Amino acid sequence: MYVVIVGGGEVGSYVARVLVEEGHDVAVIEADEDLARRLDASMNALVVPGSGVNPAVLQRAGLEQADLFLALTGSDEVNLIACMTGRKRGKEGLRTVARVRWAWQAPGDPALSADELGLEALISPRREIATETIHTLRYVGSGEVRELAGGKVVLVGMALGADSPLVHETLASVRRDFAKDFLIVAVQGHDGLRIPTGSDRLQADDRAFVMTLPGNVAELAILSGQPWSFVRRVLIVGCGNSGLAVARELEAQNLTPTIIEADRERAELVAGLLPRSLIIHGDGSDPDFLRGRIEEREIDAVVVLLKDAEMSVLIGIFAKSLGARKVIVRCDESGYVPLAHKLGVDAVLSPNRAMINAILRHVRRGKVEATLLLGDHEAEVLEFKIPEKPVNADLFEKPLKDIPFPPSVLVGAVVRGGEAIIASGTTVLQPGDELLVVCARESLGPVERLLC
Amino acid sequence: MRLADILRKEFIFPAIRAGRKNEVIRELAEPLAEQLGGVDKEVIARILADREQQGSTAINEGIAVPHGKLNSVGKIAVCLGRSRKGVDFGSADGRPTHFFLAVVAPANSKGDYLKLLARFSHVFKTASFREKLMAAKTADDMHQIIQEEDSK
Repeated sequence: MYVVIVGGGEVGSYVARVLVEEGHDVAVIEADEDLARRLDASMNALVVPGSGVNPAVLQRAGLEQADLFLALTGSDEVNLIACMTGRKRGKEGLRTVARVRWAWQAPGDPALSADELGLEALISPRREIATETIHTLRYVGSGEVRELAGGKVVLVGMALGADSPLVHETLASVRRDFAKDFLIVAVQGHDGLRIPTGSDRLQADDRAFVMTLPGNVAELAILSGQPWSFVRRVLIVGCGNSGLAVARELEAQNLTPTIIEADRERAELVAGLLPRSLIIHGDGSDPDFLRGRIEEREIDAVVVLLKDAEMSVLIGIFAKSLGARKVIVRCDESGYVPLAHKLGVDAVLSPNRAMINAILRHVRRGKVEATLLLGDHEAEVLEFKIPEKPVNADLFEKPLKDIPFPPSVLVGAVVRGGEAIIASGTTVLQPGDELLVVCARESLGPVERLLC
Repeated sequence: MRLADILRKEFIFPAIRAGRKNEVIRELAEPLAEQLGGVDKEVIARILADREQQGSTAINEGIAVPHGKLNSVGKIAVCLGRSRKGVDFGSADGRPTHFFLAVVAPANSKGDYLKLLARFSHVFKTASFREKLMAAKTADDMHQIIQEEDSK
């Protein structure tokens, strides 16, 4: 697929890197000439200096042959105009996706829809981040919780304690007692992410990605060997759009979050929008100030949603040391994630990653309903729908263990007739099934060919 | 792993008297001490209470798993208490807890006691099962019902 990306900043360059890794042809348009030069030197993509709203620049980037057009600059206006221009001048069927931040929009204003603008999609990671935060707060254990297949399946990325049976037994042995409950689909260790087999045994400092049904998360929390706890009093540091969305959801659950916001104007604005919350204007990175608020409000969970990754992680580690039972931080710097986990941060959420997950859906439209990146893009979780009249008859009438999958591919769950089951070697597929497949990056192509 | 194999019927208590969290722990510490022969029930009550300090073990709807580890014991001890009235055990939904699986494991116990707790949480998840168990009259009946659900 030929993809034109407008904007080579933090988001654009990250998305470009992932798409190049997946084997797509990528052109990046970047207005800042210095940055364009740096990208050109570091990336296996065509880098075109200039503005994404200039037709001549779009042409130089190969717009005529593009299948997908992504406008990912930090400016909503530039992104929307670039998409409209791209759509006008690109080939028939070009799909256009714009990143939007809605920074100019007061909360509660009606939002523009992609339809109105004639675009394929408007992507804003704030909602994904807010949803993921809420699920992660609700989960009794430690780790990131993501919903798959419309909430019928969840994927938990969890740390393991020294007592966890997953550390002391092979995965096959633990599975004998909990076969239908969950499946460990990936393991993040020192030397990267791997897709495990039944004979695998995990290390106490590994992180396990576990696919399970929403009703089974309590067992998972117990088996992780980490302490579990319920969260009632939540402190949010940084009330941008995601922070506001999280606070609103918590208020809807009759909770009363405490919010620390450094910008006075923003603090006053959100105070008017959040009747149940306590909004404090102050600096969350000031240790004494943070300690005071955690103690006086008897905080159980701290959610740090600052844009500055270093600051977010640092505040998170500090909050943990002050006794917060659950700490969730926003961090787009993937290099910090293992360190944050090691120092006690329960969950790390990345808007960039939420963005790429949303975009990959449009890259694979028609075949794959949703995608989730795992680790440092070593693997992905794909949501396939097997056609009612499938091309490949080899998939059926035999158990999964007899299907010749490419290496490092695991079917984690099957949704059939609206009901999800955790897959095992004996599961037999049927036409029309929805599959959640975990797949190492190098096997993505073969798996798509096998299942579509 | 079968719950019914590990939980003996003489250690099922269909009607615990305790009405408060710390009383539940003290009441269940006694049979655990008896099972372990020679361990002070006060010591057991304290380690269970210590764990509750870190966060309530009321993990799922209507159930709690007070547990702890002890150096001086050589095997896992388990007992199950039922309170028809229910006890405020600090559950997530704020609703009363009716079933308590108390567990003491040796300090060097690895994954086994966690598997036991997880198994309990799993078996007790079904509302209809909990209702049946709530209606059962004797410890024998309760053991029988658990055995049936466990082998499903």
